[in-house]
Amino acid sequence: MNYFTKKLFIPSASAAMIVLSGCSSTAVNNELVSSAEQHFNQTAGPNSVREYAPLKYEQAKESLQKLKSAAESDADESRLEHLAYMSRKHSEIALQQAKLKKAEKSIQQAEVNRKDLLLALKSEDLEQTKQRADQLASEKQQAQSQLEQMKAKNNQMAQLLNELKAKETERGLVLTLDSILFELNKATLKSGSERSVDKLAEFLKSYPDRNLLVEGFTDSTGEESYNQQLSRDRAEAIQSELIAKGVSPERIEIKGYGEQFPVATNETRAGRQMNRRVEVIVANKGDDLIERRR
Amino acid sequence: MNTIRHNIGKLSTLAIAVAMVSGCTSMAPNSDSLVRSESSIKQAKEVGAIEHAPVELKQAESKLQKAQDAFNKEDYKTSLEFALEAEASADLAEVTARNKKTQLALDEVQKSIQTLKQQLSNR
Repeated sequence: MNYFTKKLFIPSASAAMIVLSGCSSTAVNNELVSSAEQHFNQTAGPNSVREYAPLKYEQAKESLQKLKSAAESDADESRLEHLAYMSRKHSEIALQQAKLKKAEKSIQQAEVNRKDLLLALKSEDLEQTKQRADQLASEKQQAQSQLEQMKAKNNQMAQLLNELKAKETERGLVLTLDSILFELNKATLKSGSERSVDKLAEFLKSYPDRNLLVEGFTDSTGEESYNQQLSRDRAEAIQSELIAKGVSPERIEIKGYGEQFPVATNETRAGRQMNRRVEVIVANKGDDLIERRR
Repeated sequence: MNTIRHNIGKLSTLAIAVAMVSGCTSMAPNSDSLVRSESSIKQAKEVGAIEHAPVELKQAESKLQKAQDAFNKEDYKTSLEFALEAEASADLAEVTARNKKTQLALDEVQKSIQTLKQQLSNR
């Protein structure tokens, strides 16, 4: 350009005049430059643009500088308009690029935060699940130990019933206490019979809703009326033993049958011993006791 | 020799003057700049400029059209300038679209963070 203008001034003044009038209009050019510079300051000016988009910032700066240089060297208006357009675009690109980089950085940070939160939620879920599992395990253990206890109790009962020679009858559970023995002509328990009474009391405590009937019997020796009284006394002896061991008195009825209903012959000593006995009938749950029929 | 040189000088001065009036300089036809701005526009479209930076994209396309028209009229200087302007506009469309999309993604993440925070505080 310079080369051309130099050459033109010497040989042809008219050509030079045409060139000058087409390439420069100082006021308009100044306006173009200052407007582009203002735009640069507004868009690419903030420090964040230099920080987040350094390359695009430099490009915008160079672009503006190119415009300024062209204006100083009196470039033509269309050239300056082109450079002003480029400057504006490059400034906006710098701004958008900076915004983009900033947003990308924010997203990275936000993703980290989100993951932390998800982790926190998960670990809380885990904690809750663990707590629930612990609770269930302890409930299961409780139920199991309850079951064990019940089984043990049932076994104990079965053993007890076996020992007490329990028999299911239509009158209820009949316990023949043949190991509970009485002195001849007396209503006092022979020593060693207490254990059987203990077991009976234990059994009754396990079934607190069942009533019982204690029936006393004698052998056939002696007066019948005497035996009647004696059998009743014997039943009473058991009753008071049971009461002493904590069985509620109103649950226990007594009955004396004298020498009736022998379970063995009265002809032998052993048979008579078996007839001097007490039987206990435990009513079926909710039933009244049925008395022995003659 | 001198006469010939002088004549050539006269002719060249005239030619140069004509060139100056029409566009200040003469250039060889070169469509590289057109190809470059076309590919910039394509790239901008690929990152979603149609949806997220329609104004910038339209401007780029209109500049490219002007560059094409000038090229067809063999006004290569003007064509180059329009092509450069088209390229810059397309670049702006691209980065604007990228920025808009990233902002939307950021909004999404931040929304989900809000939701998670609420879930945590509701426990």
